[in-house]
Amino acid sequence: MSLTEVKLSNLVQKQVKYKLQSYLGVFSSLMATQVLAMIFSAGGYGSSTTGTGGVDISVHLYAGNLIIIFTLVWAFASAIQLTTKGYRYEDFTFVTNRLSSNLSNIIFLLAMCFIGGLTVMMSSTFLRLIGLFIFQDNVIGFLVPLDEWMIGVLSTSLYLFLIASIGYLVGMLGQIHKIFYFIIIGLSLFILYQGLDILSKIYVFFAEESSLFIFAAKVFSVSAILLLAAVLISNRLEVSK
Amino acid sequence: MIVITSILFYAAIGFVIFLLFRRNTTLKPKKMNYYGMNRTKILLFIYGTVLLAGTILYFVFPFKIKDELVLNSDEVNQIIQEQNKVFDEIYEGKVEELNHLRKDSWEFPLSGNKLQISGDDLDFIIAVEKKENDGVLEVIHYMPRSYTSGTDITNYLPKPNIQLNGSNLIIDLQYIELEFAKMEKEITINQFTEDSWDDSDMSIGINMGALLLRIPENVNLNNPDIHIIE
Repeated sequence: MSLTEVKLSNLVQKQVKYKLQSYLGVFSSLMATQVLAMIFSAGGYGSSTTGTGGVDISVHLYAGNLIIIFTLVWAFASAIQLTTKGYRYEDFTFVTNRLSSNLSNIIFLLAMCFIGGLTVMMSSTFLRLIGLFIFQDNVIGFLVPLDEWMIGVLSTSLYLFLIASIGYLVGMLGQIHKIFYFIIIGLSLFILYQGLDILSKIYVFFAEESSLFIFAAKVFSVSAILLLAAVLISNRLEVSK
Repeated sequence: MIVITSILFYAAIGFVIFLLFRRNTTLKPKKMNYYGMNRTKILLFIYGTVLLAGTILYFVFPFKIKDELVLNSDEVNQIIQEQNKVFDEIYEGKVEELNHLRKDSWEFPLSGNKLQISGDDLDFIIAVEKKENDGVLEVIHYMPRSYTSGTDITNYLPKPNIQLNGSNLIIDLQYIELEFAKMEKEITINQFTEDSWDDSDMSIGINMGALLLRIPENVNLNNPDIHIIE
């Protein structure tokens, strides 16, 4: 029994600080993912070539869409990794309980996703620079203004957080029993091949929302449910393991 | 649905790559260099610095970009109508309706009363209109707007090479190769701004235009398949 009472907020704060400084692998894999996506997109993430009437036209499309998709995968996989034994046991460096561990993980996920969103937009900008230098006078389209760039950072971070929340829940389920990974993969394949209706509804719910504020509300609400479920599962994990 | 499928496709590739490059991230004592930083930190610092420098350069440097050539779906539909209309108007001799189009014209003095039209690729609609006997052959090329990948490329398309050799009018296309970079906004920006994702962005509508020949009334054309405006 300790005479010193540790405040939860202080504990969470220390754990978040510790995780941000020590989980460098998460950020080095973010860098590797984005560099790889940039290499794949260096000649344009898509292109169209047309030949008609004596004219051959090639249009190379430049935007960070591939970087976004790759980074979403990174967020999902990194969130799963956070739930693995290696990471969970690191929390015992501190006086800890499941709640503080989960809270610090969630705050870390938020920070991680914001860094992810910021670097997605920065690497997309870098990709545009490559296109501008290669094609110089033959560049058409839009230069993204700063205000829209900021929207990009926020919305990408929100998407990353949503996917990371799913990853965190999947990871926690996987910690109960590995069979859950197979069930989730099977379920995903079933949805994909038996008709994309559910997927389309989810897509419409998030991707066709044109108000950033409402979109943020949707993401935080759904993420809160997913993360709460993950926390409840982790409590069960404590009893069972 | 195409968007979902392509996202899932790329996500699957990304996931496989992530698994291949995944590093063991549990804590281990790290080798420090002279400055007390490990290699990962140095790499992350360099990456962040390069991205930051690139972002500052992008917003500070006045890059030239042709944003006026980007078309929305309404403008693309308008061009499709314009392209269809040009044939009808020329066939019916209503050329005054086409004055707003890009127009190139040639004049050749014509001796004799015969004319033969030839060329290696007559990918044009050619119509002939008779006019007074002034001994001058007029060739007018009407070019409707063309687009590809949501971009107006009309002004990049060449006018045809037209030469009169005796009584032989030679019409040839100029062969050109064009290569563009098109800067687009990311899907996560498009969702919250006015320029929404549009599948028609990838459609192509290139039209090399139509030629109108105005020949003196006494000149006979040796090409029976060419339409003569009554």
